[in-house]
Amino acid sequence: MPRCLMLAPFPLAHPRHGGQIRAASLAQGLARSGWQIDTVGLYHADFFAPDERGPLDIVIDDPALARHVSGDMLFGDLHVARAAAGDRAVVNQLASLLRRLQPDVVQVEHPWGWLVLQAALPSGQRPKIVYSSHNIERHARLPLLEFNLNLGHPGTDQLLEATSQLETDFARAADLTISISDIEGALIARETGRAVAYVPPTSDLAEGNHPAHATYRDAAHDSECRYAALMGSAYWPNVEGFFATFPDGLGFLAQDEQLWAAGSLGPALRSDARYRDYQSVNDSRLRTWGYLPDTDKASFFAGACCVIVPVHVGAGAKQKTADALASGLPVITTSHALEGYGPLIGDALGQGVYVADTPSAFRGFVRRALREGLRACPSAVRDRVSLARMAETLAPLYAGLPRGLPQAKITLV
Amino acid sequence: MLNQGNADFATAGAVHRWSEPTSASPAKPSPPADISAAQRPERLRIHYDASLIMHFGMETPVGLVRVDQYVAEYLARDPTLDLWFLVFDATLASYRRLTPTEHQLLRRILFHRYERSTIASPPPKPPSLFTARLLLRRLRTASTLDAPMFNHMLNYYLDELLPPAPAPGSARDRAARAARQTSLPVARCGHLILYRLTAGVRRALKIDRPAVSPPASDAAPSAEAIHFDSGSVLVSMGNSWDYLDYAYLHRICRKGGVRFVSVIYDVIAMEYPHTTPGPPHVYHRHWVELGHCAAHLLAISRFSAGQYREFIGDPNDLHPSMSHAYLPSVLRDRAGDIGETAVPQLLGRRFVVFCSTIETRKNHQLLLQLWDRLRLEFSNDQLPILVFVGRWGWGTEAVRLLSERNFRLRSRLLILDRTSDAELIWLYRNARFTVFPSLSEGYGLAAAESLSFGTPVVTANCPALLEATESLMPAYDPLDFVAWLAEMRQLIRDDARLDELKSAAARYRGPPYEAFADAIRATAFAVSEPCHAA
Repeated sequence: MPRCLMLAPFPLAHPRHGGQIRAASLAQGLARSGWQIDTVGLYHADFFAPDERGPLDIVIDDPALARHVSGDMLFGDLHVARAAAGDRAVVNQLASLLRRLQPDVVQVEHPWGWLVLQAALPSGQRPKIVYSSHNIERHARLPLLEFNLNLGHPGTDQLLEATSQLETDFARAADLTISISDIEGALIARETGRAVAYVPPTSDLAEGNHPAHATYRDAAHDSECRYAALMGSAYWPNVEGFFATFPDGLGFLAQDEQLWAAGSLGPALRSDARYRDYQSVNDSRLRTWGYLPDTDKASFFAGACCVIVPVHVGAGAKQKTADALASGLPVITTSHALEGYGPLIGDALGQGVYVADTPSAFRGFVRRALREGLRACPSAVRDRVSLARMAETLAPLYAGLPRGLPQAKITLV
Repeated sequence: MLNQGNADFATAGAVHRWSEPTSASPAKPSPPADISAAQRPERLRIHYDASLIMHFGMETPVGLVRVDQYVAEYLARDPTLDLWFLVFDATLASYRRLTPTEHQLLRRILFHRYERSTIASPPPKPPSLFTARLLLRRLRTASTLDAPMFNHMLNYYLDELLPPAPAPGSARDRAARAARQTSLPVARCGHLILYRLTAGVRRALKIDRPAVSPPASDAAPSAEAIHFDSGSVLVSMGNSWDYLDYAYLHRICRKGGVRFVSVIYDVIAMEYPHTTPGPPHVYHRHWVELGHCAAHLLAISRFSAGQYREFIGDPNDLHPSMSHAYLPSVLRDRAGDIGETAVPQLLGRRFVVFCSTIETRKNHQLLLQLWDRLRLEFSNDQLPILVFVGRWGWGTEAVRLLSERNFRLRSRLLILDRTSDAELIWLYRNARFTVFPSLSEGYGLAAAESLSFGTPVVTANCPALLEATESLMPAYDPLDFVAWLAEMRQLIRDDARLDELKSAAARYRGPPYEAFADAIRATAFAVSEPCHAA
């Protein structure tokens, strides 16, 4: 059985945020294709709880580095990676793992791990290297700098340049680069002159969106309301997306039409000053459910009239879009939220996937979904974000790697 | 004085028909243009939300309370209507009918509120205040009142017994003043002793109920949530954001088919969120829910209707049926009923009036700064007294500092925070001119009232104020100190300029007394149409 070591800048024992979920789904996809996967997280101890750690994780515990990262969170991953690459003990620990596990392939999630991996790789025959791009890191950071001027500092430009350089170098050095987004895959390919494989995100719901219980449906029935489902974390693009889409609050809904938000996004919205400007109306039309376990997602969607993905910033392809497409409901979204899903949803636009880039248009679709009903996202689209489809995509790509198959066989973007 | 006609208030739960308008009414309604009584043998039933009127009781009404009373009275006198007064009962989370006691109070408010203050006919001799039984009752009541409330009541009665007299006045006036000055401290002292004594007794006996019990009929009111039939017309004129349950409103309107008619006074909380007494989102919700639930909204000006569309309608895709109508100068039209009472401190003085609650939006600061400048240019005799007529509201720190700490303004500034309608009429009639520098208004009733008495008013250039004043008066940016200063200088110094404005004020037509209430009435008929057709 071929063996793949997955090196990630976070633990993968309990995937929660988008990056973790993406890496975990890739691991699952590969496992389905017959690969043995070992995951190694390389991160600082201060930023992840001990119970999240995996057995092979390399955890850095340097207080000075933690302070440095905390003072410059925007480039925290780069700082940790640079420190790790300069730390002989860390490099040796990774080299030792490579010697012990003898992987055929080392897959690096995000570009950061490449700095350490280069130093840890054996000088002779080395495993094949896969760069798994979650987003173009430079692009992901630029809107952050615009959003929060406090994040910038005199060294910002150099760090952005270093980030960009690292991504390009890694894509050129890797035996295979996979991208979560068709658009970004094309950009990396153009930048590096290398082929890039497009491996879209997956959703657990795609293979099993049968509700485990009727809690949410019953709650909607009891309160005599219909609801649009919204899932997301408190990550700032989600918050900004909400307020860019609903800048004047939720008064466009009648009282028996509501927005139900699952995930840490709900509390983040409620604590925002923009929410409080219209608090009375918003409170009467927004219901928040907090963090939702995976087992509850299908139930949450089952009672809803539609799923909304109001995202206007951020890079890569959004996990919540995959969940929305897999929900079997009408999906109301911005064109930005669909970035990275182009080949998957082209035939569903206006036929289950409804794109609205202005508040007015978005409100109109939500009202239509709640009042008249909209056609649901076709099941064919749901299949395209399934783990089975990912495994089918990954299998030929990785099958050729250990034997050094020519890259022309790779699914090219 | 107005008569209440054939109003029937006698029995609890009865349908109260206040139909026959009397000849004394200044506003005898004519049948609506499209629906005559002959064509419609059954009178249109309108449910009228009297919660705000009941809340304010016999207090001198200002702002929307005055409007609410005026419309309620007007509709109550309409023989083509079957008017049911309701109040929103939070404990029932529903509207209910009035109790008999509430009906009695409502009758007093609507039909007898102007009875006591006139100068045309001197106040009737007070009822025999000194009968033993009445005296005992008064003492018992006084024993339950705390000092501020007692002082308020005391002033009320003293005004009737010993009306304030101009200084220096006749020997009789001087005697009245002396009696007043003597009786006040004596009565206060007596009250203090009585209050403490009875409070001590109550504490000792552990009596926690008020000494004055509510009437038996109210102690156990036959409170019952009202059931609206589909197509019922419900009119709410008040600030229902203070009490209404919007889930209930949604239920009765969107599911129960109630035709809800309400009024948009303004949406200033959306335009100037820092100027409202409460958080603006509270008012925002009110306006949004109206947009969802109302069969028709009547704005008090074209500007307010436009602002509603801009700040509430468009952002929420709400396009309720809307129209606008102007508020009448109730004071002018009812001056005969209200009478006129001089304000003693201003007799024989030159003064300029600003009638408004003292709050951030009204821009009292501008006037205080202006007068602080003008006092350097004009002698005490030349500079009119700046008179603020209105209660202290919210966000008033700056005004308090400017008015209370600036002792140099003291002789040129008078704040009247408890003015009767009769006094207000006197103020409008006798002011050199009035001012209205508000940052924004829904209409600007005080500016219209001033003109209705022929007194020029200088206003801010808010579009609603231009509507209210029919663009007859000078209007300036409310933050343009220099422009205001120049106009004030002219109007103080130059009688020709004042005469010019008085001529313009004479051209003011103003809306007919009945116009606004008629618009409500017509709306009620219009929204009831589908129901009647069915």
